[in-house]
Amino acid sequence: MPYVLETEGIQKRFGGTVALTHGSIRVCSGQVHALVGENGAGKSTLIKIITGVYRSDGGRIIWNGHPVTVANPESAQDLGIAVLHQHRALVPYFTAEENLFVGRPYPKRRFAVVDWAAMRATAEKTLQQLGVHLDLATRVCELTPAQQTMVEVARALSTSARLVILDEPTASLSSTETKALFAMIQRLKRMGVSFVYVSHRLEEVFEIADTVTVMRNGATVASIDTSEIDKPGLIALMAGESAAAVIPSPPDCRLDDIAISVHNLSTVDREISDVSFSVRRGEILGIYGLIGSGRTAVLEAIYGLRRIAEGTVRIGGSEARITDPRTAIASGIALIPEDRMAQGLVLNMSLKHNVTLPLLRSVRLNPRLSIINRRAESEFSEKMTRRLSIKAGNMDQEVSTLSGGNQQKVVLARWIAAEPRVFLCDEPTSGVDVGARREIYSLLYSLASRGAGIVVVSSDLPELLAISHRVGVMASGRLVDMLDNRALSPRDVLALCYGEDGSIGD
Amino acid sequence: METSHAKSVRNIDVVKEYGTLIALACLVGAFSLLSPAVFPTLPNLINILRQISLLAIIATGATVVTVIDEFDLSIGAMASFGGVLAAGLVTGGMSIGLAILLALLLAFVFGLANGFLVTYFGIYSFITTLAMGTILGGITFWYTGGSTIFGGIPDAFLWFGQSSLGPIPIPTILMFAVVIAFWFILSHLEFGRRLYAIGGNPAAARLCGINVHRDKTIAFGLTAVLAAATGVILASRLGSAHPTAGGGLFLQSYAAVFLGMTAFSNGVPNVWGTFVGSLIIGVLANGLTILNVPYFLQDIITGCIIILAVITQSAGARR
Repeated sequence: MPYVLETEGIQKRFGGTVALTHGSIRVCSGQVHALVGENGAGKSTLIKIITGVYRSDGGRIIWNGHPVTVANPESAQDLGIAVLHQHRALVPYFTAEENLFVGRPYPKRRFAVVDWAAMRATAEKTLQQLGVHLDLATRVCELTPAQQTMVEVARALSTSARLVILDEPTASLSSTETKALFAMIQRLKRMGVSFVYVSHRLEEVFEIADTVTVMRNGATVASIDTSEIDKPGLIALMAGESAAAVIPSPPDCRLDDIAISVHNLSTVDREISDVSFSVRRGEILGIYGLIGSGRTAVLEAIYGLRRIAEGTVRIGGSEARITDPRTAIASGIALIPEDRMAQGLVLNMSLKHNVTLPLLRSVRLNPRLSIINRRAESEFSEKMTRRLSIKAGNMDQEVSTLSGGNQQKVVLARWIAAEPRVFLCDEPTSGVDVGARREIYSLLYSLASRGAGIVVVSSDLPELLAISHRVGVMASGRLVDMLDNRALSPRDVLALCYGEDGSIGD
Repeated sequence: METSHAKSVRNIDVVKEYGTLIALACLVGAFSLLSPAVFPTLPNLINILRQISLLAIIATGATVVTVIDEFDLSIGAMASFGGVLAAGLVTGGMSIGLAILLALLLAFVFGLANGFLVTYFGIYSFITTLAMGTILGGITFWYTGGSTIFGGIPDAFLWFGQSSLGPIPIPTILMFAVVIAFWFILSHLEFGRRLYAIGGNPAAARLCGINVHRDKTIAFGLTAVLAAATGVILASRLGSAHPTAGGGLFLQSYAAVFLGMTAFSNGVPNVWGTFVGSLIIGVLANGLTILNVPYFLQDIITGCIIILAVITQSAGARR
């Protein structure tokens, strides 16, 4: 089978840092080629070189058999390479159809007047080819994350892309939506479109990819058919060690007193209604649900980010009146938000300042004056950085320059020091590499064994089942079941999500 | 090869990091060469520090709202308002201290109103403060009947605008007091850190338990107080208060803030940077006047220097 794209020994340096020493990938036409590796392995650098965002310092790019130079993103697009980033590149207030045409000439009538009818027709045709159904007149910000991904794929293909690079496309998709995306990928494969699929979710790699390339420390270490390797083998290649993926079991829950209990909780916006559950001290409660099931809204309601219509939250036995994050923190609750870029970190601030942000009171020069003791602040953040083994050059490094796993640890660090009684974690391991994941699990375990109640929302079901004592399942804003996690299989949980009659789902 | 590459990278970093300071040094060097007898003298240095005192104070105020990633277009009108009100009250017989206090207090209230409208109703600060500036302009005209207040201002009111403590003019001392105080507030107080967090990511700040609305509102209040204080000192210095006296300071103060954002650290507004920005504008005006460069050319040159500073910074930031 001919290669649509080959790269040979791509190198890239940033100042003194070597990002890529030997980036090689060969993508057959009409195939899905997975690209895996831990954060910092060089995947995104390689992709940015292929798509013309960075210039390489060495190596060759061969497109359909001919060596090419990809000088900028436009020339990558001209070749037929399209990329979908983890963070969507759509104009939120434009309609779906307008988004399909962003960056391309609009169909026009005389005097440069946009021919909206022609635009609609072309857009409809594109979606039809993809087998996607959605209302083109809807503004993109009102579409579901899955539909937004579909719009992005559609846009990529309407620029007649021959190779589509997908960077963690399922990060915000539920499993049904992922299925729909995969169906679309399969259809396009048959039409001869090739894909490079970057993902941390190895189950997906085995489900969708024909071939997989593994990168480690800036170099390609293996390229192999997915039929010739299994998950442990792949993880071993990524980590450079074997049996890296085994998630340790959570520590025994000592049947302590109740850390948090929620009674008949409903929000004003009706994202959740009549939710009740309790978490004991030392217990890890997993909450699973599809997108829009209210799994994130539950955490947000407890943390004071959504207005509560009815119901109560009790912390350690007494009722907590939570109206905003401040009162939630005062009651001993911490939230690790779903999107660490948008909600967790102040990206242009230093590592040090991000760690101490909610804890400035504890590094005061004098307890009665709100003057920051800079030395105490540095020492404090150094202590937390060591404790969580955050990899950073120094405390003044801008947090935006850290890898995903280390960024997440910064978010955790600021709350761990505050010793909250309840930890609400929304997708704590999304976009985090295997090594850092294990570190995050063991952090949660040590918090639990020291008496915190922990609630974890994760769309990674195997992970959730591995780390939780109990699993709550949400659907349509309600907590539909609470399961003791004994020999629970993903299938049991999913069956509850989709309901007996399959009313929710596709 | 390796080391020279690394070195050139570091050189770019140096230009990016200290570009504005280098520009200031170049300007001082150039004017010293072109006018060795007048420019590089102690009296002229004191002169420059007196000339920039008002600009540096109002620009420090503008820095505060820029830290929270907002704009305050009403600072010019606020300065006029403060000057006119204080001068008007003292000519009416009120004690100087009380008049100034009242002017600053009212400005603070108007500033809080700016902040309240921006945070509570979620109106863009650009629009809110544009409207507030217009309202203040109207109030100022109403109060003065459109004319300049100059008769009947007691001599004591002129003291802090026109006198010196030894060789140092009082406005210069006030400027350093304001700059140091606000450097301390923004860099050493929890309040300042919270403002930087809000400016960087308001959602993350809120999740960390910061009362974003309250802190932003106070920031607008502080900006307004510094603007009004500038107006009061201006009235004292001129011995008169004109209903549009502060207008000219508005654009220059943002120029100083933007220059300052490129002076230190990574493009974040900061008080000492703003001070350096004010110095650049002051040195340019002073040096070009000594060289008899016409006023309109001074404006053109100042504008070009601001653009250049921003270009060097963003060029350094790009990969």
